[in-house]
Amino acid sequence: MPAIKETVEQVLDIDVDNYKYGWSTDLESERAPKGLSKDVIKFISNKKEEPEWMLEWRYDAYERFLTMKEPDWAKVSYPRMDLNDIYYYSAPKNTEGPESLDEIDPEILKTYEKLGIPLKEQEFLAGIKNNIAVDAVFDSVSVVTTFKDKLAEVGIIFCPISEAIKEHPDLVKKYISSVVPKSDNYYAALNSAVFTDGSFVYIPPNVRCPMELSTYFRINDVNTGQFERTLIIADKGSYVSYLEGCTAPKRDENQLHAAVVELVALEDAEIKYSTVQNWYPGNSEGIGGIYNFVTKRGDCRGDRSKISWTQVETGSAITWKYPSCILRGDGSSGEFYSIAISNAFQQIDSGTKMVHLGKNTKSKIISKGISAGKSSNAYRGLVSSHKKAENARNFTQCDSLLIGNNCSAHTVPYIESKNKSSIFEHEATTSKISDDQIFYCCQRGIGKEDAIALIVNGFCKEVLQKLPMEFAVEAQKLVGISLEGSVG
Amino acid sequence: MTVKPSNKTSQIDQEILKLCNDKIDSFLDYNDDISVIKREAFKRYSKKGLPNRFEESWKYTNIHKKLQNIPVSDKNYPIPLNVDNFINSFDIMSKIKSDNDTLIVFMDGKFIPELSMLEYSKNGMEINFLSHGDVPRWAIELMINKHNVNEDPLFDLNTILMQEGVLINVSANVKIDSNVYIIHIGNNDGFFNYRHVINVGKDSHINVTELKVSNRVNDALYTSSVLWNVEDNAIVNNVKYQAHNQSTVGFNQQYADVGSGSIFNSFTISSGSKLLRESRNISCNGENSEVSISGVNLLDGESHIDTTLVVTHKAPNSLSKEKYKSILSDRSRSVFQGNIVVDQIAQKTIAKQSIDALILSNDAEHDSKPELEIYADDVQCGHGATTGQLSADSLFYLRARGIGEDEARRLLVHAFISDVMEEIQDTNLRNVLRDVMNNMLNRVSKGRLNV
Repeated sequence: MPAIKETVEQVLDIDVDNYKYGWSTDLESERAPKGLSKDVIKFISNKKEEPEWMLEWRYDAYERFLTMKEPDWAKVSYPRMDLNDIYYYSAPKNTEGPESLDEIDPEILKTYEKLGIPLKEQEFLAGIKNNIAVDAVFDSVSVVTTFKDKLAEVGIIFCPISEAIKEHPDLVKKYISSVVPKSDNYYAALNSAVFTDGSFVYIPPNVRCPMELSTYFRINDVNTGQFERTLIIADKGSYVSYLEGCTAPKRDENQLHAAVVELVALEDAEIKYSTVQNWYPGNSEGIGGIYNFVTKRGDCRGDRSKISWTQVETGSAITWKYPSCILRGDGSSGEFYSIAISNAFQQIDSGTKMVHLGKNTKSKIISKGISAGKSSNAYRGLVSSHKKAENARNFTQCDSLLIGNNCSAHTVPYIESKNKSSIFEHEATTSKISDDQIFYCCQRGIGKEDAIALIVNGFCKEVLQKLPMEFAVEAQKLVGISLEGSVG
Repeated sequence: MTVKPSNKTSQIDQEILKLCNDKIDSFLDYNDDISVIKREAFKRYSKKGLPNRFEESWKYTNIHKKLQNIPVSDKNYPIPLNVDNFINSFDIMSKIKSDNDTLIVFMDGKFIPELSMLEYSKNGMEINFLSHGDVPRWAIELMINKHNVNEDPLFDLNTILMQEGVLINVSANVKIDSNVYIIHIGNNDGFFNYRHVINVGKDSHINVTELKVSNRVNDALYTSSVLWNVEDNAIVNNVKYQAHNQSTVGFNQQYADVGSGSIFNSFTISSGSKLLRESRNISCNGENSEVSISGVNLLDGESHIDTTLVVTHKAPNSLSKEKYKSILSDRSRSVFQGNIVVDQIAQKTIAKQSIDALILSNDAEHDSKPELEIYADDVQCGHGATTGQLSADSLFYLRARGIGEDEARRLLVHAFISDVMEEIQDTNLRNVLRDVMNNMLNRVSKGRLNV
């Protein structure tokens, strides 16, 4: 007995020691322990080799997070998640994952095919464990390096945010959480405490970024995972177009995604941010699927600056996302173009906020919601003008399309005008695809599903046109695919 | 944004709760249906108290702040001596009233038989009063129905404290040619609570005009609820005119259930008021029912008018339209929250909503929230909302044609509301109210609107 007791004590001692020193030295570990605590935050920070100030910053966010409650105002319902039952850090593993494309769900492969994605890229997207160097995936090692050279030439910084924290601490310190404060909302606070990685972009003054920047090219940290943090700064007179996500359905083990995206546009700068999101929406019974709770906000800080959001949301079981613009600079403008498609049991509560603070600010919102199956699709938007926002101007159009009578569509706009010179216009419609339209197509030899895809594409045309060329074609196909099985 | 209720606001909450408590105690002895409803309402109300801005439907209206100096006790004041003159001083009344109309007048929470005319109400129209005891069964049932589904704490408050109101029952196949006027006069400060219940039988037709005016510059608080039950193939034309001084706080609730093939038109003009909350809940319960809810809000001074409207389509082929115009001057604030709900069964619904606001002052604020909640696919639903000032181009156009600035502004303000006035069905009433509006607007366009 004493021997056993001794062993137990020894083991306990080790545990206590480990706890005391955190897991910082445990470099072999691929995962942080389950749950959320200061130690886990320290673990993540150490893994990322972050400076002390960043750790303090994360702790502060965590303290604030502890005082907050999960929001319940959105028109979505789901079982509340136990945040202590999640791994907040897991390094990319090479040992897991399917060996070849043969092991991938044929449904997903079919979709890849329809989208016209090259085989190599398919392997990459499906997360095939491969011996091919990651660089070679797009047969693009040269592409990436040439891109990097080209960007560096004009002084653009485009790197993982963890790298930026180390290499460009001044820029990060100055701008991080200046648009989305740490305690902005429950999920933003959580993200601030535990974010693992993301992108950092800085465009120097008077530089027009020579290419579309995309997470695609930054393949060295493709597994940034569930708590992504993006910070884009466009200095005076610069321009950048940034693409996020991809059209292909992506396998992902993490159920909760809580990303934060911050954009800062200084004087005369312009940022165009496009997203295509097609994560796992759950099976046809509505089980599983990603919870996508994202905080995206752009700050038109300088005069005459411009931020434009374009999004195509087709995936995720639950989407909770409001890309917003703070129109602070005089004469600044904000745009929001959105297509949100929900099928099966998906739930979307998405929209935008246009906060007019400066004089002569303009904003435009075009939102197209399509609900099919048993899904629920809500547009929730705020347009507000401050007392000093003279001549603020907004135009909003929200159209909803219902396919089948088990789905629902909601429009919840908030319009707040605090001065007389603001002119706000809002219009919303809800309708269905008329039988006449389908008949017209069918009569000309187009199948019913294709007809619906065609009509829906026409319905979304205004938004699709805003996407960068290479995205637009894929997105168009995606619209059709997302609605498969919604008729008949 | 976090808005914590201050100490003062919880004080008003406590005062009202205490008042309710006292009232409820006096009902404990007897066990009739009304006191059961009141006790149920009290049970619910005492849990929540007055709503605060954390609640979604009260986001834009801070009721605690507006109630700070309002007395909640109801006092008894003598009726003014020269009552006839008093009534006639409301020139609208004298203009629209014809000899065979039915007139039901309430002052400071009491029914005033001396001023009322009920003679022409015999044929097919039965009139009772809440305070006279023996509340008819149909009225009690209507109340119970509404209370079972109620979520509005102010409706509960109205139920707990309701002391007076008219109960009108129109039998089937009756067409009431004359107008029925329900008039509320606020003459003194105090806290008054009205409950009216109106049942319109099959194939019947009734015109009900509600007038709410307050006379003196005293602080007053009232709640008033009207429950409508419109049976199949009936027609209701309802016009409300409410003009209050800058110290009156009012909470109006309107509930209407509209049956198959029925038409329900309701038009409201609201002006003045320290705070006015118009809470309306209209249901198209039957197929082919038609609902039209429209109105004009004129705000000046520190006025705050909040219109919160829910139209629910519960049966196929129903039609609803809402049209509201607000004109804001000084430091006023108007709120419009309109929700159209279309149930899954309500296919072929057509629902339209438009909300326009004209802001004439830089210190005014307009907040609108036009919602759609659609569960059926074969529908045509839409809403439009605009907020803005007088168009500089339009002004220039008129000025270029030799029209003076004041006159040009006046013309444009008139034009802004002219189409919504067409929603009033009764031509005579429309003309009179248009004149009244014109007089008010002439003052508005000059920047003053002393209602």
